[in-house]
Amino acid sequence: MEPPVFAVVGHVNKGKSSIVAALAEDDSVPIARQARTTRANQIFPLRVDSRTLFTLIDTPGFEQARHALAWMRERETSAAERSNIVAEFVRQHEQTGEFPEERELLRPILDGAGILYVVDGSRPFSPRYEAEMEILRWTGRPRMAMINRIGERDHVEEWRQALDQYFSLVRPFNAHAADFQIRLQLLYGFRELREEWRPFVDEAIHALEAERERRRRRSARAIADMVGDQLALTLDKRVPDEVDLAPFRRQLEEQYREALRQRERKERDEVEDLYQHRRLRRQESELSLVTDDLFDETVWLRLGLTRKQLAATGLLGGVLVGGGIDLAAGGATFLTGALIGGAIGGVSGWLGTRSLAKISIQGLRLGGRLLRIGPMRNPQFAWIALDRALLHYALVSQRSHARRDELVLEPDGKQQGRTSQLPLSERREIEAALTRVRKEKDPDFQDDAREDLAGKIEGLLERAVSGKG
Amino acid sequence: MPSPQLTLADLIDLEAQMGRDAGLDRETLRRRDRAIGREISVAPTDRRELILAWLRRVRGLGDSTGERAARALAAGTWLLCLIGLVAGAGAGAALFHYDGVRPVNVVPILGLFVALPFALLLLLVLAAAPPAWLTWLPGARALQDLLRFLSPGRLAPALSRIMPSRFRRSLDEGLGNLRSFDRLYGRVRFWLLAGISQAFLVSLQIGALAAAMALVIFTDLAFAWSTTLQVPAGTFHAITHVISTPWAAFAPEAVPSLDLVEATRYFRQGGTFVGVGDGAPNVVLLGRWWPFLVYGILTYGLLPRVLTLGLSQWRYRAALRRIGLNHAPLQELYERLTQPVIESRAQSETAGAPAAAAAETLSAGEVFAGQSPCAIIAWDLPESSEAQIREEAGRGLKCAVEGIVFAGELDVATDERALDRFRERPDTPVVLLVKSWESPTRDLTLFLERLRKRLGDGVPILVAPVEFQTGDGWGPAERHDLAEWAGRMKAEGDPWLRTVDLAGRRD
Ligand SMILES: Nc1nc2c(ncn2[C@@H]2O[C@H](COP(=O)(O)OP(=O)(O)O)[C@@H](O)[C@H]2O)c(=O)[nH]1
Ligand SMILES: [Mg+2]
Repeated sequence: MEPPVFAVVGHVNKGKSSIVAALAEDDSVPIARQARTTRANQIFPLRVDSRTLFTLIDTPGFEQARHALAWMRERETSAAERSNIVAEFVRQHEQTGEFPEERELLRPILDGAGILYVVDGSRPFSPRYEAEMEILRWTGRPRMAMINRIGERDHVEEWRQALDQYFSLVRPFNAHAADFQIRLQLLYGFRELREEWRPFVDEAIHALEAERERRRRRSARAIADMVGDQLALTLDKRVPDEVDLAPFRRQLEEQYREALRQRERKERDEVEDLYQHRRLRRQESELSLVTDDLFDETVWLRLGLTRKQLAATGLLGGVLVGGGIDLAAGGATFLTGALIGGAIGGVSGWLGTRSLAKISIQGLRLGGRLLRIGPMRNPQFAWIALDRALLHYALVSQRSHARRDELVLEPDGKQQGRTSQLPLSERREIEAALTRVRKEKDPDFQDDAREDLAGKIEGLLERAVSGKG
Repeated sequence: MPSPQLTLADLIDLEAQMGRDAGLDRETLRRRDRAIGREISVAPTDRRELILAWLRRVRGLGDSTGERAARALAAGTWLLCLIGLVAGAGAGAALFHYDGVRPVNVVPILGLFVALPFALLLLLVLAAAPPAWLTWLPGARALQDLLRFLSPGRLAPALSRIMPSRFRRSLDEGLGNLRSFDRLYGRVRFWLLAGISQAFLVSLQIGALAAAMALVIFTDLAFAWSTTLQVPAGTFHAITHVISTPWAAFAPEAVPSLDLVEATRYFRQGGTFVGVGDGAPNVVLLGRWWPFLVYGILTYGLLPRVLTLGLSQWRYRAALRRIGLNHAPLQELYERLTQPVIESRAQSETAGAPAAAAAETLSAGEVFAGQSPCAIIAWDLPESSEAQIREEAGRGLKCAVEGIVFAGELDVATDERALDRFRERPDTPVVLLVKSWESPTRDLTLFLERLRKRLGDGVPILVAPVEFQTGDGWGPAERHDLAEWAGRMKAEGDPWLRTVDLAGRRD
């Protein structure tokens, strides 16, 4: 038994390529407002360990269905002959060069592909479409109709009535809104098309579900690693004796922020990669959001835990202490107000280092002081980082590969962070895991601690996607 | 089934491979490892076996870094043992040397081959103790570090320099890798080096013993005891008695008697024996010390070392066995081996069609000044009545509608009927009303070509995209739809074919 092939057909510009892109998780499929974006059939095999389970074919779409049908009708003799006439149509026009799109899309169907017919349910039905449907019926292949909705309006019912006459299965499917569950449901529809195809589709569903879990697990670990790295980040700067520390401090501070941001970007790329979003652009505003965000008190309050929650988790004391910034070398407290201010406290612990004031490099005793920033002492930071990662994960993991717009990561203004909605007991558990990650110096145990944190994050990720609240 | 034994070479290769893999992209790794994973026919539950089988495959044929390192280390170890034998034999020969004048002094032999090894043994125990046990002992950690640093086993890598340089490099790399995973492999490294140390010490003792035996057998030796300290013969006898406790029961001849001790005290000054009058003691008595010394070396020098050698090897194997192979990179590897690779993207990536050139749309006001007449073809608008079209189009186009004909419907005959209406060249522009949201199809452009042929050059054809409103009326077309129509109509290359915006909205 050959694995099934499904040809995605329909009128031009109704979302055929979009549906294929969503199902095949391929964000490189050309999708555009202009018609004729797809000129030749494109093959999308679903392979599990190099074994093809089914193949999707994106086709150019009908351009002259009325005339094609007219040609066929002229030659109609009996209903049994119809599929032969369709084959004859393709063969004859091969010579004349006419009907290039119709020939291209009919070819895989005549070779045995199942039909996925796409219409736009946001636009009114027109009897003209019956030419396309009729030709498809003539092929005699198993067929299913998908009502995509490109626009806002709703003409689904009128479409359904027409489609029901030509297709054994009619399903709504919004290419841009299709997340994993919706795609899976469509696959269940594929199973219905032909008995013999079921085992293949079942196996594919199985593999996709396992893959889904793998991605979630890997994402959780990527987030745990990011938080771990960010918490452990320290930067040093040598400062000569007897100079003003302030400019050095600012410089180091800026480097520190940039390093944190960069680590965050790396995690984002990893997650997007896992979910096969290779060309995703995160919106500029998001980047600048990242820039200011982690250091902007209002965002912290918005995303993160409220003070009451902090106190309840036993964090508030830590926040206040974590905000304590001291630079022993200067003997002064820096960074007050300007950087963060208020109860949120400082981003970083500053360690002045009289003991390290003299460092020896290659046997030379050099003068100067060592300015060090980090590791992160603010317990709030990890929650912010987690929250942001969760938001990104929820958007990326559910995003349809048909979309070509930018990923906008702006949390809506009033929204509290996702983590702030967690029950206290769970927040405590996560806090404990975070503390372990923060404290564990030994690389082996650090690895354990991160794995443990990743396990907790995995639970969060699962809920971030399922409970869309 | 017991898990297969991991060897040092495996461990070094594993880390070397992980290091190399860190530079490869995930997709490649996933594909490679899954292919290997599928070839390996072991139950995926046995992670260790799976990873080892994987390692054997990726490292391929030929000697690997790990194998070279292991061989270099073995060579270093053998050389160290050889040095031990020679050094031991040298020391033994020197201490058992009898020039025929001064008898061999028993005391330094006891010190070097009995007391010192015993002390060293205690240090080994200290070095091997888990650091946590030693917290109560101030300075113990520092001492432990020092001892580990001083371990003669550390000489083996250095001695491996006799091997060709690629072996040496492999060893440096391999041990370096293990060092960077100290928490994971620290125990392995410790017992490995401890084992080499013990092997060295065993060969040292064997060398000494062999030299001593050779001298005993092939020459006649005279022993005596001598020390600067004020030790009465009775005390020295008591010491020797305690020392010989382990073998007293089965080898009484190797237990020095008080007589012997008393008779063989020796003061170098003047080369005289003290104890039995003033004459030299009985020659037989002078030779009597050797069984005691040999038993001493055997019992306190060699035997403990053989035991610690065995212990080191046992612990070394245990440490290898206990390696969990589950830190993060190996966890990922395990997943790559066991989880199927799913591919769903396009077989070949295609570039999209080039975007159509942008083109202007005309506004109705520009075309029909003051209600001039127009002829209308309604393309695929069967749902609209003639009256509605007359009203909406007349308003939107600001023209006096002269005639309306329907085309582009399901039945292709409608096209023919429409074309028939233009058998004579009209003196008004021809307006083609189309649904704005439907993309221009080949069907339509072929119709336009036929229409142009019918009309002849010069007659304006105006394509007017129509948008339905939610109620009944028509509204302005969406800007992107208009743009697409304008672009596609321009691409037709007909200079009298233009796109017109029904609503007259231009910006
Ligand atoms: N908003 C929205 N737009 C869609 C959807 N599906 C397709 N489109 C848009 O419709 C246009 C045509 O889509 P495409 O997949 O290229 O259609 P094809 O010509 O049938 O392959 C593109 O501009 C898509 O962005 C959808 O589900 N929602
Ligand atoms: Mg397309």
